[in-house]
Amino acid sequence: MLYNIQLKTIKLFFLKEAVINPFFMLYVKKSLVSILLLVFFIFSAYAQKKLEEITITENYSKVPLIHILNTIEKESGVKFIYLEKDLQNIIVTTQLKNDPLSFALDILLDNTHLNHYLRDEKSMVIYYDKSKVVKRTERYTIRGEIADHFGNTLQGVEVYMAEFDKKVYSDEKGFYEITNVPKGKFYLKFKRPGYYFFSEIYKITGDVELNIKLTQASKLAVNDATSEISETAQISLLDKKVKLEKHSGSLKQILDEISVKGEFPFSYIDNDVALDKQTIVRDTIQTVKGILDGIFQNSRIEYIEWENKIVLKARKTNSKKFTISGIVKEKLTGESLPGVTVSVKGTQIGTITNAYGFYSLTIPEWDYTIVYSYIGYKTIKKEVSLSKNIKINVELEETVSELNEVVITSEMAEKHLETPQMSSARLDIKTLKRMPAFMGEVDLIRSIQMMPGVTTVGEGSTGFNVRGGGIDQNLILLDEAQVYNSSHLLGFFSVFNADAIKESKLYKGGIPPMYGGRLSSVLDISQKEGDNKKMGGTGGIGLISSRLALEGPIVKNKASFIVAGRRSYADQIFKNGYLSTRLHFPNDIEAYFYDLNAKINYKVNEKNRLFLSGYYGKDNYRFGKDMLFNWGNTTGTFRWNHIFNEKMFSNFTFVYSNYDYGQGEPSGFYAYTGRTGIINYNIKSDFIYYLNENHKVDFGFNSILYQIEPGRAKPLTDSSSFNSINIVDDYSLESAVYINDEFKFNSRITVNYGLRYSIFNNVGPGRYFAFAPNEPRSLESFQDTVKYTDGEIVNSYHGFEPRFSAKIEINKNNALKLSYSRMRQYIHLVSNTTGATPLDIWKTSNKNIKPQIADQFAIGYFTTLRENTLEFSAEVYYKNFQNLVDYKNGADLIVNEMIDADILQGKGRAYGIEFLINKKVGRLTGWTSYTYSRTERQIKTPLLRDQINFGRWYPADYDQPNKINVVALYQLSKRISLSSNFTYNTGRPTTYPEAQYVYRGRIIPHYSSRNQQRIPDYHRLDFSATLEGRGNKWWKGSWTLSFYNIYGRKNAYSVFFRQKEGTQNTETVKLSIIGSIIPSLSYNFKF
Amino acid sequence: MQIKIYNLVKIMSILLLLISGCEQVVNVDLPIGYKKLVVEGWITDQQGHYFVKLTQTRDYSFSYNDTLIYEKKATVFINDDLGNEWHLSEIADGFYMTDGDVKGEIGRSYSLNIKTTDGREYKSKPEIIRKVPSIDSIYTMIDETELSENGTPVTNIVIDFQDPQQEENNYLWLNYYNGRQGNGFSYFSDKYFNGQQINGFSVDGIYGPVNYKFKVQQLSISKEAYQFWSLLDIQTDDIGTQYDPPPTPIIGNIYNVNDPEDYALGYFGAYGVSEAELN
Repeated sequence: MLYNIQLKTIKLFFLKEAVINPFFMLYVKKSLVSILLLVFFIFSAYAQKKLEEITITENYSKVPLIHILNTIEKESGVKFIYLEKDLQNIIVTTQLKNDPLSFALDILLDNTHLNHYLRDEKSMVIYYDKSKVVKRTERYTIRGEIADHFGNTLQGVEVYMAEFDKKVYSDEKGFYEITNVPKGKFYLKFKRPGYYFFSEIYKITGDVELNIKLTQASKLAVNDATSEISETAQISLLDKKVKLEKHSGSLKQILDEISVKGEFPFSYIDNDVALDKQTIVRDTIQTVKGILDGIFQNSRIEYIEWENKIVLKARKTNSKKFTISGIVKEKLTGESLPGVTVSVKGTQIGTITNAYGFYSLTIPEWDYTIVYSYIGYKTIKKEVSLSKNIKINVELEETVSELNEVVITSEMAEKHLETPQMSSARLDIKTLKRMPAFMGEVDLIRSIQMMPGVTTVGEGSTGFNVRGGGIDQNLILLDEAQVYNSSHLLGFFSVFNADAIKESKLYKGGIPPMYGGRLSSVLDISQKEGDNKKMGGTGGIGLISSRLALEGPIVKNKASFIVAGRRSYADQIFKNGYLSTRLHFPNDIEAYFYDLNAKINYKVNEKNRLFLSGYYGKDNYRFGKDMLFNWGNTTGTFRWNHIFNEKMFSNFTFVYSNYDYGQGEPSGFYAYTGRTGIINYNIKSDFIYYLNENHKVDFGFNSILYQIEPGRAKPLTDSSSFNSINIVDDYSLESAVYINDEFKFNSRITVNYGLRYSIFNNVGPGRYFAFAPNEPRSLESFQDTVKYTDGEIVNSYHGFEPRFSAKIEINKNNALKLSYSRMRQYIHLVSNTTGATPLDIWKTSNKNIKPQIADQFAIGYFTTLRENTLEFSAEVYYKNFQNLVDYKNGADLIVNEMIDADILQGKGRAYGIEFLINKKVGRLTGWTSYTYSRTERQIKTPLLRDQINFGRWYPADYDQPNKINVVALYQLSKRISLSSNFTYNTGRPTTYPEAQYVYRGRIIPHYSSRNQQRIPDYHRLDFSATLEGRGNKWWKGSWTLSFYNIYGRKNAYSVFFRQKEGTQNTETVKLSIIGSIIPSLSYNFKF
Repeated sequence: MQIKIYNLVKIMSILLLLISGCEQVVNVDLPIGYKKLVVEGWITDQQGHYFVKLTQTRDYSFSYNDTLIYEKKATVFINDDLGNEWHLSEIADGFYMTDGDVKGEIGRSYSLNIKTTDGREYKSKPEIIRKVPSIDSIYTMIDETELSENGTPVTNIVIDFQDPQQEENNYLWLNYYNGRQGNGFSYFSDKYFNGQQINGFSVDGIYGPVNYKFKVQQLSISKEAYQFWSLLDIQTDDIGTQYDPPPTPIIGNIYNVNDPEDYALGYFGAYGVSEAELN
């Protein structure tokens, strides 16, 4: 019969044992003591072997009992007393193996009338026992294998059978065997130094195999280990009351006396304990604990009860701390992995890898299991014996198929409870690529709009709005370079090519101090580094565009590159003569966009790594002889990662970023070409100092030089009457220093507190417009243009930006988070349209335009449900804006030299509640969110005609109170995955006319109050299905079929009012940009 | 140039409309606003009678043909900066005409004064009459690239003129067909063309030949007037997309003398004028 210990029992055991704290030093000392004792016994073995110590191992085959006893007498020195006649004719056939003397006799005397008892320390009596039933006792063998929970077999584990005082040890294969066990219930104990012991009562009714798993004692947190480890149900020695004769004496004398009176031994290493020290016991009648507390108070000795002994040991003082650091990478490609959780098993200690995959943990000298986990990757555990600073670089392997049963480790899903960071969302590219895409174009910005708290004014609008902020209040960073316009084709597609992007993170609140310069959000996007192991590529062919990305090592494991390109070809459709005639379109249309991403990285050595990355994108449009138009972003980033030491990580960055748009007219007296742009150079240093396990300090500085070209234009043809325009460039410098400490206050509370200080200067050469003091700015109050010279600082603004966030853990699955942040923004998008256009330019603060300031308070409740498979959060926020930028009614902002006169500044407020349920593992993943939010503005000026809505609060263009998002991704089979989006939001505010009048033969609508009505609510369902090709070693393709707006809702894009063409009547028109279902098919490949 | 940019956005939107977009006429509940006085009129440096039309705003759902609500029996006069006053008499409901011939003078400023029967008093901000350059030539140009639905090309009526160097000039053109004033207007600013010879400025465009007598008046207008006329055009023509500015009240230069929060809609201009006729 095989008896396997139920897995469940083991699990229960682990659960129970996991909370027990270990006590390693005790084992060490105990083994030392044992060794000393062993040495002693070896020396004294021959002289005098105690009865208890004698074990017998021998095979007997038809041997007379008398003969056996004689041999034992000879070998062990024990004396047997018996009557010879009792033993006559008794022949024994048996096997003894490590059987203690007493137990051996039981076996030898089996099936006889003989019994035995201990006479004294040296002799045993064997006698005739009439009452003993003569029968053959069936004997069984218990055997099995002992291993740790990683499956490594353990040698030298002591297996102790209490009933017979029998001990055996596991061999080098972890195998053990206890023979001659009779029927019955027996208490077995398995123990080995460095492991939690395991004991259980087994009912033995035959041969059994007991395979045992022992858990390694993680050696942290030494307290309260003992009571749990020592066997239960015994009266504690410490509670024994003793009466001592002496009040004082040497420590040894006192201990000896306690030992005698309490009937237990002490165990200690002489060097640890000052045995000669004069010791006074005040109260001689009390518990052992009381006496020991008195003696060892304020000393470096601590005591502990251990297996009927009291062990004295030196308290571990000033234990040394060492640092484990390294870089976590993706196994297949060698890409560094940010956001990986690195935790110390069995503790609260942990960290998260930074943007470059670097981590550092400083913890006391000990043995640990370090766990590296990341969603979608196999968790890796490393056994570490920490006695010096060590470096562990880890490569994580992707879980092959979503269908494989995903083992959810607690480390994984607890992440959203782990850090104080709230109001943030990480969107990994894998999820992004699986979401249904408009016209098959994977789009980061559109996907972000599926997050709670993120809205857009309408289909195809540039950018996005976060928690009531304008689109210029988002800091969009691509490898740390500011991206000023995130859209292609107005706002239908985003500039980020999914093949070139590694991951993106959106912060809506509680923004870390390392970021600044925008009020409402940070979208931090990092580009892929390039596979440093093998050459490969990805690409796709879609309805709108085609893509190709190549990546591979330049020097294997040292340097790699990635280049990714994309171009649209929608314009080819319009080149079709038939279509253009039918649609009254000029047939010489040019309308396309393209972009290029590139990155190389070079690992100089373990401590230095260089990155060079760039982006170049362009939109180009020409409509016959009417219009030329183009815009694009260019960014370049050079980065140097330097690891000063295990605790200090640094990154030095130089960024160039440029956004410009060109426009023009190809013919006529007005033929011209013009350009407007913004260029910035950013020097940045960021440091992370991993002070210890409770403090992580981030600090750094950066300085951005802005060069704004407000407008330049020149005639395009000789016959053109256009005058060259050259508005003077604006220069300004925005600098900031910041520091933040992530402080683990205790196991429940972690706080991030930091400060950013930013300073903004308008620098020469340049000019500013002086207006009459105490008068509202207008063309009438304009007084003078003041010029200033090169390098002269004309104007500055500065201020502190405190940032704070905290996490309070309620219990393992629930946490509360709080945050407050103040943001300052010195650069503003000049736009007076509902949705921004690529033509909008950026303008810095100056003497007339104050920086925008926002304060945000947020509180959130975070929980994990269903064994960490579901994350739920609810967040409430309130935001207060100062100096929001708005424009006078009817202001002309294009190539306006003196925009200052048209800018108004006002107040804003936004508040809301966001609910999110997120499922990150399993076949079905995705999220559902509901947001209620409001955002309002108030523009008050002394000039009544400049006021918007009579100076009253009014809803902002992107005020969409109710919003529901559902994103569901489902892996149907290994090759087929399905996904679906649903989105609903209240229609955005719009303005209806109050009246009309007739002027110059036209009906003119008269509007008085802005944004008092709303366009109809928006909702849409999308669906997509992806079929993965079988693929081979060289090529793997997939088809994606997607349907946008599946029920073909004609969502309002706008509602407007006009005079019906060719009639004298007015009409109200709802314009839908997309009025039907839009199917698309794309093919993606990987090689 | 501003207009062109809005056109571009419009073209882009149309491009996107091709995907599947559509326009639907819908019924909405419109807000009801206060009645406002609407003023239309101007004075030029030409000798003649000048008209001022006073109406009131009405609900947006009204058709053009529905009877206008006229502001009747108001007291209306024009004054200049020298203290001269010219009285206007109501010749038809809401139509007021100067009692005699009037001629504005270049460099003088003029404003309109209105007192309604219910006692409200309005006044326009004084406007100076600026000199306007003459039209050098007027001719037609056929644009083969822009066709009507039956394939007829557009005939553009274009003018040449020399913009003066010294000052900022804003222009308004009004068209006369067989001597009758048309409703259309064009406007232009020399913001990017100061001092340049402007050739081929299109003041009108029709499909097919011009078979009537066409006269164009070239008016020099103030910056404020330019803003008024351009807004009037933009808010009736460039509407409906998110790339258009939010609609706003088009506030001209007429304000209530006693109530700073009240204003009248429309504009009273003082313009220099020159003319050309297409032969």
